[in-house]
Amino acid sequence: MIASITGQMDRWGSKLTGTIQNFFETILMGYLCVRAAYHDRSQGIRTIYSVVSAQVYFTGWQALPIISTLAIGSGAAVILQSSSQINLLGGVESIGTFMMVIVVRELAPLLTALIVVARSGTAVASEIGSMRVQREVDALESMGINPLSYIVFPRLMGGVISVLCLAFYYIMIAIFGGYLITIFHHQMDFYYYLTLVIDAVSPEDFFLFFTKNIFSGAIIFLVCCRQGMSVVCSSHEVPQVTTKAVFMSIKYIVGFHICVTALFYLNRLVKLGVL
Amino acid sequence: MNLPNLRYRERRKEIKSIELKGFGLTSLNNEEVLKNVFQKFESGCAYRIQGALGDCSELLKALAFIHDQVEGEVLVNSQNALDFSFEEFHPWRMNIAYTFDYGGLLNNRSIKENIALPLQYHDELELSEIDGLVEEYLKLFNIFEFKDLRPAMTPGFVRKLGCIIRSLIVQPEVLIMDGPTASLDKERSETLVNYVSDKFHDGSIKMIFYSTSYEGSFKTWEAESFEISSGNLIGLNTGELAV
Repeated sequence: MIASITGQMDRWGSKLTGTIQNFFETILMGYLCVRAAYHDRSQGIRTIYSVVSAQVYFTGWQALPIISTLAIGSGAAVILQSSSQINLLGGVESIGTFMMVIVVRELAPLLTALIVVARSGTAVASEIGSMRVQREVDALESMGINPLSYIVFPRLMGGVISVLCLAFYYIMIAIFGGYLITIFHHQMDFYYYLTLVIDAVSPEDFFLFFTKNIFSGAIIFLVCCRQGMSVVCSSHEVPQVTTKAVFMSIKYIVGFHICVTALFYLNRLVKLGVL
Repeated sequence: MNLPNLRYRERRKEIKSIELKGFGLTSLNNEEVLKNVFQKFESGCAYRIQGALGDCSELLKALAFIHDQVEGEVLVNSQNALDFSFEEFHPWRMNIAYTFDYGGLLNNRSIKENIALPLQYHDELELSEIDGLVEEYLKLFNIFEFKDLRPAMTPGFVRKLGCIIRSLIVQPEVLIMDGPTASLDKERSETLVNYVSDKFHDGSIKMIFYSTSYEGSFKTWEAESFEISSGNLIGLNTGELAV
């Protein structure tokens, strides 16, 4: 009985220490890749630019169709649901606030991050994993090319830029596309709708937008690069680390978004004098 | 072949000796390859490493300073290189070239781009000069027609030569070759050995480490042979254990 309890505690303990170790190793990798890129005098802007632009193309540009679909869907759903519910209560001017609270603050950063994890996080983890298996990373090191500055840093940069742009695109499509899709369902004037949305924007929303999206991008690409780099020598490790990268990225992103949102509303309550 | 002067060659640090002190090595499957080895390798000599296939590769990888699972000290000119960061070791690393099986050629670059990568990345020559030099090497080894193909689209000997040329083109002082003639025909093997031999005898390559199962052509230089056996490095010329 006691042996089974201690065994269970051992398993929990090792899971917990494993998670903490993973977390700090990912942060360390972020620091090391920025440091390596800063110290690497050989790596010119041209080398970084070519990988960053390729990353932005694959992660950002090629994700536009799926982001558009999700944005139109979520924007239309929010407008339809809120307008039908609000009309009953007679407060149609709240639609801008609903759009801001649900789409801009929560759905856009979260869904964008999840799409990027599914499309590009997996691609990055498996690409780097394959590079490890085929000893391309060894070859780079032997040529005096630091893999952290040549492989990881440009992907991190490209990823952060892509996530920021995609989230902005998501918001625009959700606001305008959502309105256009539901145009036959309600009689709301576009300029009136736009004024409601703009009025609902506060300076804190910009802070929230940049914080959530910059960190989401960094989390996804650091976690996926680290998992890819953790492949040792066998190609069957590649799908395993890819799956692990997706799972860990989602876990960290959801956790991070919950923390930021909680802090944001806690701050609101403090300002209102409730707390 | 006349080699051009590399722009930042003077930034490289000369390697006079590589010394293993209390050196231990574990393979990727966590098997002990070497333990407590003491051996000094001097500039101006060639060293042939023999032993079980994987063991030679592990030692050569460690001598190229890209092996993670090492213990003890590896002294380069009496300084422990294992204490250096990537940037600190860079001036020595630029004088070491390492070629192994298919050399980890980058799959998203053509053979020519792969060979040009180290010179381009470190900005050692103008792009036009790099182009010309790479093409000269490709012609020397008779693989010019494959220059624009990606590694996956080429036969094994082209990939092998691609990684060999990539290591030679940076004009290293220390050349580490893991099975350099594997999958090469006799003619190309001899071209390679003659080229390296010329560079070794004119003093531009100062230290050679290699493992090969095809000894024939390599007799053009006198190599000191070592065998890895049961965790020991045994000098075959002297019969002494490197302990």
